[in-house]
Amino acid sequence: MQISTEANGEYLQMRVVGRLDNEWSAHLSKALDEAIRNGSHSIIMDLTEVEYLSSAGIGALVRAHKQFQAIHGFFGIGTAAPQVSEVIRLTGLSKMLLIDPAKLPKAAPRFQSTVMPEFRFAAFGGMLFEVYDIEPKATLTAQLIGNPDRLARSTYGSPQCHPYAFPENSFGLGQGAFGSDFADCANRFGEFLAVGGSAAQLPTNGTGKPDYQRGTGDFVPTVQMLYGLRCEGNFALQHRFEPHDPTEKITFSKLVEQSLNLSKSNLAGMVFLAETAGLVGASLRRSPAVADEGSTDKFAHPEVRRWLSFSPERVYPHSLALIVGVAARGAPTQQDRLASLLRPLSPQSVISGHFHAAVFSYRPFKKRKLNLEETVTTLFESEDLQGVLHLLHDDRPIIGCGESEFVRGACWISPVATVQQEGA
Amino acid sequence: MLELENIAKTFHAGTPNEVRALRGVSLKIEPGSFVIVIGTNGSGKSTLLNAVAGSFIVDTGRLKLKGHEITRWPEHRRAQFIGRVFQNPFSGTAPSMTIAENLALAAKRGRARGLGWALGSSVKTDLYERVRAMGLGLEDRLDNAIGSLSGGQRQSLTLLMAGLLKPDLLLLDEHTAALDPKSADQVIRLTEEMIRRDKLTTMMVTHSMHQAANLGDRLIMMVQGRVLHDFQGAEKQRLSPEDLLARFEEVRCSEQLDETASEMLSRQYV
Repeated sequence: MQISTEANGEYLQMRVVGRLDNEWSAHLSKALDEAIRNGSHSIIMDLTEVEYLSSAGIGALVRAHKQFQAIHGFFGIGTAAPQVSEVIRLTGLSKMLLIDPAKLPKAAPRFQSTVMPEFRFAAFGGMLFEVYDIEPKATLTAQLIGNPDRLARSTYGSPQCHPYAFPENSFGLGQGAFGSDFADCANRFGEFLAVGGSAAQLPTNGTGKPDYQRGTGDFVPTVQMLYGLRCEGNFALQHRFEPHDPTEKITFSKLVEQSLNLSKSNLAGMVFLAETAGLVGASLRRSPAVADEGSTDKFAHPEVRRWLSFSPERVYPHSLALIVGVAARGAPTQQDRLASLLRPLSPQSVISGHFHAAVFSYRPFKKRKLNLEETVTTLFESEDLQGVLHLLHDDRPIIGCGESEFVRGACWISPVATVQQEGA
Repeated sequence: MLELENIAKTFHAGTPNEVRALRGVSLKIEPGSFVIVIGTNGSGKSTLLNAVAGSFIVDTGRLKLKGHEITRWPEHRRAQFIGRVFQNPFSGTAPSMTIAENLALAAKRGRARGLGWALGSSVKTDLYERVRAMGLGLEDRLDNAIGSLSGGQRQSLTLLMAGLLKPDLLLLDEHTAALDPKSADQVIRLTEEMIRRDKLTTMMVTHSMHQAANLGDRLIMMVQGRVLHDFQGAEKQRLSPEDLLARFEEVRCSEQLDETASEMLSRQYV
C-alpha cells in the first residue's frame, strides 16, 4: 500500500493506493496520526485506487472519523473506487464516511465556522500566535510558600509542612506530596504541580511513578507543601503558538519571553500545554524531609547523584507537557519576594522563572481556543501521566543539552498583581 | 542459609588495571529463596557469585554458608554445598564422556570417590528416569558423548547435574545467555521446575529483564560493586521489565552527573 498526501487549500488530500486490509490498516492509522500531529485537522481521503477494503480497513476509517470529530476537525472520503464505495454503502457507513465531492466547497465553511471566536494573530520571535482575550483585566495573587533556600543544606520538618488546596481557579508548584500529614508524606516529598483542579506529584520513595489527584465533584486536590508557589485568580488571555517555519522548534525561554510580552507585564503566571520536541529538567530522588547522615550540601559532587535525577539529554520527545510556573522580566533582586524561586531561563535571556512540567503521552487537541479545566481533566482522565520534572536550562558550554523545546501548543497567562509571603 | 558480611574484592590491586569488583556487599539469603541478580556489565554480579563459590578468596568481609564460616574455604570444599551452572554450555561437563558418565560424576560431587564401577544398573535406571523427566528425549542417548549435544541440551543437562544432589545453594551465572531463544526458554522452564520442586536456595545472574521480572522472589540490582536495590516480597512481584529498564536508565543518568552538571544544577535548581 502507498500513501501520499497533498495540501489542497484548507484540506489535506490523502491518497491511498493498494489493498486496505488488516495488514495495512495500522499503517493508514499511523499516517493519519502523523497528519494530525503535523497540524492537519481536515483530511479528505482519495480511495480511487484502493483495490479492496476489508472490515479492518473500515475500522481504521471509522476510528479516524471519531478522532477528527473529537478535535473538531473534518474527515471523510472524497472519491473512492466503485467496489470501495459499495462496501461502505452496504455497511451503512455512507453518511459517516462518504462526502459528495460536488458539495465540498459548501462543506468547508460548515465545519470551519463551528468555533470561530474573536482572536487576533501575532507574529514575532519566529513564532505565530493566535491570541484570545479571556478576561483582559484579570490578575493573579501569588503566594510564596515556605523557604526554598533551605533545600540545599538542611532538612524540612513538620513545622515547614502545610496543606494547600488547589481548586480550579488556582495553580501552583513546588515540593510537596499527597497525604494526610507530614509524617504520612515524609518519605515521598518531591516535585509537584497543580492546575485546573488537578495535581501531579513525583514521589521520592523510589517507585519513580508519578501520582495524581483529579478534582471531581466536591473533591479538591490538596498538597502537603514544603515550599513553592501558589497563584489564585483568572487568566487574562490565552494564546496558541507554533513556529513560523514548521521545521523549527520553539525554545522554552523564547516562548516564555513572548508570552510575557503578550501579557504586557513584567511578572506573570503561566500555564502551557505543549507538544514536546524534548524536555530538559531534573527531579528530586530523595525526600528532603528525611534526615540524612553527613550530607551538608545536596548539590555538591558526588552527593548530588543521590539527591537529583537529571538526564543530560532531552527527554520525553513527541509527548505532551502540562507546564505550570511563573516568569519575571529582569534579574530577580533580593527584595523581590519571589526571588528565591526564580532562575534565569537562559544565559541570553533577561527572563527568569520557575516551571514544573507534567508529561503525558501525545494526543491531539482541537484548534483555536481551549478550555483549561476541560483540557486538564481530559489529560488526567487518560491515566497516562508519565513524569513530573522541574524544567531547567543546561547551560554548560558544549556538553550542556540546552533547554526544553516544543512544536506547538497553548498558553494561559495572567499578570501577577500581588505577591504574599507565607511562613519561612 | 547464606550470609555475606561486607565482602570486598579488588583485582590487580596497586596496578593500573586495578578493578574494585566488590565494594562491600552485605546480604542475608534465607533458605529456599530464589534471588535474581542483575546489573550492568562490570557491576560485580558474576564476581559476587564467584566469591560465594570460592573461585577466589575475598580481601575483606566474611561469608557464612549453612552455619559454616566458609570465608577461607577453597572452592572444592564449598562444592559439597553448592551447585553451579555457567554461561558457557561447554563448561561444566566433560565433552568426551557420555551423558551417563557425566551425571554419575555429578552424583558423587563433594563425596569420596573410590575405585569401582561408576555406572551400576540401579544408578543407570535412576539416571534414565531423571533425564526422562526433563522431557527433552535425551533418556535414550545416555551413552552418547555429551560433546555431541546442542548447547541447549548440554545446558539442560548441566542444570540437572547441578541440581542432582539438591545442593544447599544453586548458583546460576547467566546460564541461558549463550543459548538461542527457544533453548533459553526451555532451560528457564527446567530451572523454575527444579527450584520449585526441590525448594533450592538459588542465586541467578541474568541480563534478561524479562527473566528478572518474572522469576524469583527477590531481586538484587548491582552497580559498581555494590547492591543498589534489593526488592523483596510484593515489591519484587509488581516489578515489570520496563520498571527494571527505568532503574538502569536512572543509574546511567546518575553516572553521567559529573562535576560540571552538579555545578549547573546548584545554580539552576531551586
